[in-house]
Amino acid sequence: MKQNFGDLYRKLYDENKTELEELRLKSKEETKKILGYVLGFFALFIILGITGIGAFLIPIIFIIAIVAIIKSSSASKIKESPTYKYKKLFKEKIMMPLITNVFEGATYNPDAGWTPAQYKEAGYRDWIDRYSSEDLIIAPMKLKEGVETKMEFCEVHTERESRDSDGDTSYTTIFYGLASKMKIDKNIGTEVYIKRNWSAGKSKVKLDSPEFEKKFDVEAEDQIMAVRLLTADVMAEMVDMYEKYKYSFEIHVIRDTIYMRVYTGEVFEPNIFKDSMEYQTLEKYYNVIEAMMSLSKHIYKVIDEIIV
Amino acid sequence: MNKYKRGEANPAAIIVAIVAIFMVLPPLTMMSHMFNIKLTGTHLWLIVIGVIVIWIIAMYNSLVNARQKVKQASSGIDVYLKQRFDLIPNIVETVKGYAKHEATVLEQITMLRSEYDNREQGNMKQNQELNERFTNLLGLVESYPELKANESFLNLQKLLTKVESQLQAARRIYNIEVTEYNTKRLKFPNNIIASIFGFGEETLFEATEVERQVVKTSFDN
Repeated sequence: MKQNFGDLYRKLYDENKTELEELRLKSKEETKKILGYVLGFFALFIILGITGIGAFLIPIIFIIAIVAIIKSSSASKIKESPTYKYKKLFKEKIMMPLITNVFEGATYNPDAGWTPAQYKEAGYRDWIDRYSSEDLIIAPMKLKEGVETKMEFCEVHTERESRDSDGDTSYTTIFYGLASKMKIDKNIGTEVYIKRNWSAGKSKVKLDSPEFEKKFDVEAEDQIMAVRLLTADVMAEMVDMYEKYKYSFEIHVIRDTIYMRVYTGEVFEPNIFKDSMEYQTLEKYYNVIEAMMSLSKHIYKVIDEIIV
Repeated sequence: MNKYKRGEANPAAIIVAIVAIFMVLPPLTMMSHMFNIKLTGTHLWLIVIGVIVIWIIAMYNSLVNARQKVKQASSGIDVYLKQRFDLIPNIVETVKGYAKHEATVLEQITMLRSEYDNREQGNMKQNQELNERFTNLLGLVESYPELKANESFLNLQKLLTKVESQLQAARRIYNIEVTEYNTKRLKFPNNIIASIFGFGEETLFEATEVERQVVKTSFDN
């Protein structure tokens, strides 16, 4: 049975806080140690380089550093590290129960994600030079009597490469946050894009909610379908979600699938330097996935009414 | 509505533009001396007048565009109204068998539908009576449960639901365009151009008393 967030948080806190905190502190020590080694090596290089004393040692130290990095990066070494164990425990003992409380019967795989092709199905026009995705959630969803589907969520990070005049490469984040998709049993026969403000192209659709227009731009070839989909209730819910969580987001309804992406930044990751079970952070993760589900269902309800 | 949309002039911007023109004039005069171009006061005034004329043309065209969008939206309503009215003959046939004592209503609707066909559709006001009678008929159908179980009627109802939804969207679009046009024509300095060139106010679409009554009836049932 679904519990409210507060009760669930207290239960998880009592069961896991001690073990998590222990691992967090070990992870913090490990991180500080690694930073110490890295800074130490740099300092040594600089001193040897500037003074010239024992400059012949530089290549040897460099080789030692590379070997140390390779050895510590091996899969078995990573899995023994406190940081890995801390993140694993957090995702299994904290995130999994929170997610299954929102979606009964959901599966959560922290290491799985979408491929770039799966992400691009939604019609996002990101120029992707670097891509990563993890924390895949697959949740069974009952849309109405006799109609069930699955809703998928995962964290996605897309970046674009750029080079400066010196030829140095840097990466700019295009999107970092939660993306979702839900296939439905109705087909609107066209594509409607609800984007962040000032993003629409030539086929911008005007709507009758000033609050909505300030925050979103709608793009659609079929203006009538876009207006039918965006009822006053749907627009109000979108504005509420924006104002409550202060995350910008986009919704693409492409034929028989509802896609959404929310610019949350990194999600479902425990903090190493702060409280692992910070209430506000966990509540935000919980509320955002719940809001994404609620909005997708609301849009489905409208589609179900208009497509008979 | 947004206070000022992209591409729309606003008073502050216009004042800035006028000030900018007068700030450009002295350097323009200096440059004309430097390049030996004989730019007299008359030339400069002609430039200023030219800029103002271009600006007036831009405002006029913007009002024309907005008015055309209203007309386009209005014709969008007519398209779906026609689709709705095209369902009338089939609905009347289906209803006839079940609602014999509504014969008068059915005859009136059939007559109005013929008139609609003969005058090649017409505008929203002309079609209002047909629209109201048809809406009335749909309200009456609620009293005949056997009719609501009829398969043909159910299929027609599905089509009607789709058309009603499209019609509602078309009306919303119409109201958006009318509001935008009316707001544009009232703002300064567009209101000057609007009154000179006769850009009159457009009326928003409002539900008729019959339509409001049918909604009330449906809710009561």
